[in-house]
Amino acid sequence: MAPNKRSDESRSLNSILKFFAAGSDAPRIADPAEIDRLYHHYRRNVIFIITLGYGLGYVCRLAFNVVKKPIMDAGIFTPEEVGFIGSMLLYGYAAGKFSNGFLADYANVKRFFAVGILVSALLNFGMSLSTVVGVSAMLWALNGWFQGFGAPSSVVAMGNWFSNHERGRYYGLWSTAHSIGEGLTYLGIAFLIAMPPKGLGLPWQWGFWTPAAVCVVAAFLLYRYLQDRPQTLGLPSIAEWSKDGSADARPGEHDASRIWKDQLKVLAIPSMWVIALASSSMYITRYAINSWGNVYLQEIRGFDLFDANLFIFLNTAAGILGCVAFGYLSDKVFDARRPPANLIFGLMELVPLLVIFYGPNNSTVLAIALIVYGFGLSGILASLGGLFAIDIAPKRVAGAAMGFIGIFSYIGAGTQDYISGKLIYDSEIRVVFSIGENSPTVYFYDYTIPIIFWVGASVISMLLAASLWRVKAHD
Amino acid sequence: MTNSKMLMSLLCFALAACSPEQAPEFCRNHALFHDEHLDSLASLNITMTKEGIIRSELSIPISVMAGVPSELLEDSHEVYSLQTENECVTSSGTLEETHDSVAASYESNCGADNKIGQLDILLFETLPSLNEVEVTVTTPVTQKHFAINRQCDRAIFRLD
Repeated sequence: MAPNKRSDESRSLNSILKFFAAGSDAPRIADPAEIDRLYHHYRRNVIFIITLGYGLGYVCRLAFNVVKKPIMDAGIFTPEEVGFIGSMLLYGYAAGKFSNGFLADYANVKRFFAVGILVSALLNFGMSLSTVVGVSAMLWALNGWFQGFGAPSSVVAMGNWFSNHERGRYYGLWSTAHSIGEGLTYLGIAFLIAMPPKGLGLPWQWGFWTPAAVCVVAAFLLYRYLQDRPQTLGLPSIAEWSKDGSADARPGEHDASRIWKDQLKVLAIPSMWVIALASSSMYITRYAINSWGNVYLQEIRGFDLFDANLFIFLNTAAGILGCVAFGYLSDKVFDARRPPANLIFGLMELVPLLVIFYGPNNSTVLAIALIVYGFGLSGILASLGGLFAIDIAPKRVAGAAMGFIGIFSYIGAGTQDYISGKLIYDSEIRVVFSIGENSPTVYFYDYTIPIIFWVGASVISMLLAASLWRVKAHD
Repeated sequence: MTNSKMLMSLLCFALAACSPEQAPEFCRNHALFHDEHLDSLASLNITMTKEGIIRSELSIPISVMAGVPSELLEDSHEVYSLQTENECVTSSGTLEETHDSVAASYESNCGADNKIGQLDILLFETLPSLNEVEVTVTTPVTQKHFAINRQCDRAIFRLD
């Protein structure tokens, strides 16, 4: 390679890295009143925009779940192929959450987050054009990776702007974003695709076009309103400002080698591995319901697409309260101890699951069960999916802790999607009507074995989480 | 029409205008027409049990037979064929004929451990005058009710 070309490439890479790198410290503002005012202003902006941005961005992750059945019914992909494509997003997300978790600790999260969501929008658009399994799987895997920019960026932003003793509550607030995104998808996108009179009856492609548009808006809002570290705005660190000795946010000077050493320490904490496995099991159930729940309700319980997604929406709406309740309960009632709250919320997740799958075929009972399930699951999600890990990890590497848990969680979720798809496909019975060139086909599936898999994962998750009863936060 | 309904109709129209190919209007809005042709519909009820037994009951208006001898329907192979892991035992159909319809029933025993992959329904090939059949399929875990119309390339699930 010619030296000039190499130096051009090196310059390009440097300018990309510089674009994404966390800013350097600005001269400190001297006036304490002004510092207080700015801190309050930016903290309000940060929690609002990471919640909204993550919620809107989430739509680009879930759209495929809503259009699964129309795609299967149209004979474009089999359940196994649908499961394979779905699993690719989750594997991509696992890799993204891990690598991006480490990167986010060094990044200007406003740019990092916004770019991830923007590329995700483009990939959703690409999905609407593909009916080839390999292409869809590749696009969806890439989408997973870029979706993985969001959570670490949000966690790093929270680490920068909120102290330890308030993180449970703010983390709970931010976690509502999952439910906001799921709600928007399972109601909004389902409305577009469901047949009239409940929906607009649009082709499945709209299930990708609309999320793409939503994510472009989210990327703009994030870029406009999210902030880098307080120090880059001339403010003191959160530890200094909040006088919370345990806050230990990222250092003022960006000490890369120290961050890397602390990131490695995350891997040496045994409890972190147990949380990772518990989270992984919990994600099997979570994504089973998110990915296949609406298909199950249509196939086995006989609901139409809109009603089935409405039921799934109920679980996600209840999840908003579940996240906030978990944060409040664990911070205030159990003095920032997560295990007792984990057990309570774990049982609230498991018992309704049994009602959903083995209870009476009654809409009211099903709705109540899904609401309680969503409430319990979101609490557990807030804890095992990150909060508990952040508690016991060095605070300056919150992104890495989140990434570590994330990779396990999404490997569990991705494997679930493929296994579930395979198990469902194995049970397929096709009833084919031969009419000249047309062959209208109706598909029948049996969910008995997948359900055992999904509920079993939830039991394992609860037992693993309970085994960490004595683990306390690392201050 | 209320403003919101008008707005919704406009939105549907605008979105549909730039959408990929839609199913024919007749198929999309079949529920509007379904009641009008109930008399000329054939019906097919299929029940699959845990033990691997498949029972089918067929009812066809006499007008649909249009010159096809009803005895033809005694042969289950004219009505359906099965794709299974192991072979099934199918008894010949029983036939009942009244002045306005022909009813036939069939039973295939595939065995509890057999894997049933596909059930091909051949009615539309056997009966060229058949335009639509209303179908109920019951498996050990679920039941689906739908119509198959010669003009539509997909099953129609919303019938009322």
